[in-house]
Amino acid sequence: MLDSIYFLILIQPYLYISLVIILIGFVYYILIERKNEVPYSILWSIFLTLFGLVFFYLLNQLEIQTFREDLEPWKDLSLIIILFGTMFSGIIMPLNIKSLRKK
Amino acid sequence: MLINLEQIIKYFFQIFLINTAITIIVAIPVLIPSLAFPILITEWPGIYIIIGFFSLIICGILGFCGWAITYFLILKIYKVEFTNRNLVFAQIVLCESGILLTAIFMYWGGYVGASAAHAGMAEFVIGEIMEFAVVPSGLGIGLQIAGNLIGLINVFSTIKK
Repeated sequence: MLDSIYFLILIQPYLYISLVIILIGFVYYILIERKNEVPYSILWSIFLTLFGLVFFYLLNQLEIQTFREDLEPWKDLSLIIILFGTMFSGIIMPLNIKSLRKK
Repeated sequence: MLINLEQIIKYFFQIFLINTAITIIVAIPVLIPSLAFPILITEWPGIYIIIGFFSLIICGILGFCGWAITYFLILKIYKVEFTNRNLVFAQIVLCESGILLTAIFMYWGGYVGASAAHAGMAEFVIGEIMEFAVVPSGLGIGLQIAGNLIGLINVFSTIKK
């Protein structure tokens, strides 16, 4: 598990941001979302980011094992999924906290 | 956000019927002599045609029928009438898109590869020819796994209610 995370960060250093946001998202889920009714669940964005990360990891493994050079569009797609999931998490958390404070 | 279980059972049953129709359409090329399916299936990459077709039958038809029965049993045994709408729609979209991606690209890749093998091409050339189908098929399998996991989570959370 740690090897895979290390491998991902070696290939695309900016992915540490997504990994940190996933961790923050889990903490946020346990401490805030489980105890309160919120309009948007953080679990969807965590799922999206994790799906993108697994997809990106498997594509890189495929590239290393088969020396294929035509995987760039797929890797871009997986990075878009990760970016979308990370942005979604980053937007949802403050929005939910804001709406909870208003309540 | 909640949705009635009877409505969900209807959706799953409708998709089960749609997938049955798709499977029938996918099976029609076997009857066209010029496409030479019976010969190509005996060549090495031809097994992917069978895997694609059977993934459509097992996941697309039996899988959706199974999910419809599961939700029906939850309704009858546990007397729960509502379930999470977002989880169910995510399950349907992920499973259906995954099934179609896997079936189409395995079938297509297998046919192209088997045709090349039948024409006497070398193994590494056949591998190169079939490369286009690898990632979409894998992505389809991943989507199916994710969809079924979401379905299981939804079933357990619905029973718990």
